[in-house]
Amino acid sequence: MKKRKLKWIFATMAFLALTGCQDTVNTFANEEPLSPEDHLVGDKRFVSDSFCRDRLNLLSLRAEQGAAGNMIVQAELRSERYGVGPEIWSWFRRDNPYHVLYRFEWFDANGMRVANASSEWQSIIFVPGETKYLRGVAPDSRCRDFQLSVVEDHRPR
Amino acid sequence: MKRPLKICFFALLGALLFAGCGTASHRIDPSGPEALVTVSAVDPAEWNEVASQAATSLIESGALKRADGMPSIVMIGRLRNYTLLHLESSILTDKLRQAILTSHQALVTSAVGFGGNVDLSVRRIRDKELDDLFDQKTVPKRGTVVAPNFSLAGMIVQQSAVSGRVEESYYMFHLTLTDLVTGIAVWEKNIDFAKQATRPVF
Repeated sequence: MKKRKLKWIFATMAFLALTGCQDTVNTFANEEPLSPEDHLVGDKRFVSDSFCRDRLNLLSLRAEQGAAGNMIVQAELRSERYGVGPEIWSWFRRDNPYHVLYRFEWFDANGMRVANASSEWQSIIFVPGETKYLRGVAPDSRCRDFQLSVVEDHRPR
Repeated sequence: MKRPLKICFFALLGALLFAGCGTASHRIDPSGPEALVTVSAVDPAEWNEVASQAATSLIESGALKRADGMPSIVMIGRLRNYTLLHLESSILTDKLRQAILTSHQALVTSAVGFGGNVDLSVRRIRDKELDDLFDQKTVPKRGTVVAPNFSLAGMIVQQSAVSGRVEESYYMFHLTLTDLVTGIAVWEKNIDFAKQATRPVF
């Protein structure tokens, strides 16, 4: 009977230790965003990795024309890997912080891909709950459209 | 008799297991999810990232655009290596050349510059002005090469730290675009990243 009690105590302690070790980010922002909404663009998604979709939330996608006439895109992403379950799983998988690769591809008015040096995979690290902004700049002013790809980074570290 | 058989069996099993651990040669995306990450070097994926970030920042800044609408000419200067590593900086400069050219904001000169960014043929073909092998009308004349307006140069710095079994390397790339007439830096970019690894106990 005592052994069983001890087991429960240790299990509860381990659970509390795991959940208590969360290094998550809290954010505070203006309740009424000052940024105009006319730069917001709708998004069409093709999700092949539902794990990545559930762990990384696309909050907004904005586009504008930069000083040099090139299209500038900003994607606002938040890591959703907080809470007891995701925290235990990412600790088990050694996935905290969360490593992600992203890439912007650019297309001209005819939908043809514009080849350039800036369409390479970029790495970015998310602490659970953290919001980050991915910024893409079109390689030239002919670019009218873009595609953002996101993949989990499991490179050996 | 039974014992040697057992040893042979386990040795064979072990050999098969070890042989099965290897992978056949295969091609990978140099900056994709399969690429290696090492602490003691700048990996191909990182060169690509630095080039991409630098090109993005340079193009976004509009620093290459001239007020008169004429394309600027950029020379690729020296990328100083202040690390203890042998680094092939041309991986970066080649990508930046390509990014500048495809941006249509500027052109890149091969007549002057540093290292592999200079094409010696520009000078060598003019040395043929007295060579009767060549039709002199087709030999480029001296005084026709266009001088650059800007110089793109920079440096790479590394700082390493070890704490117990944890090893860390910090790399910083500093790039500058300088107006060659005034000598003023019109664009600068710092790109840095740190890598960490824990050595095994044994």
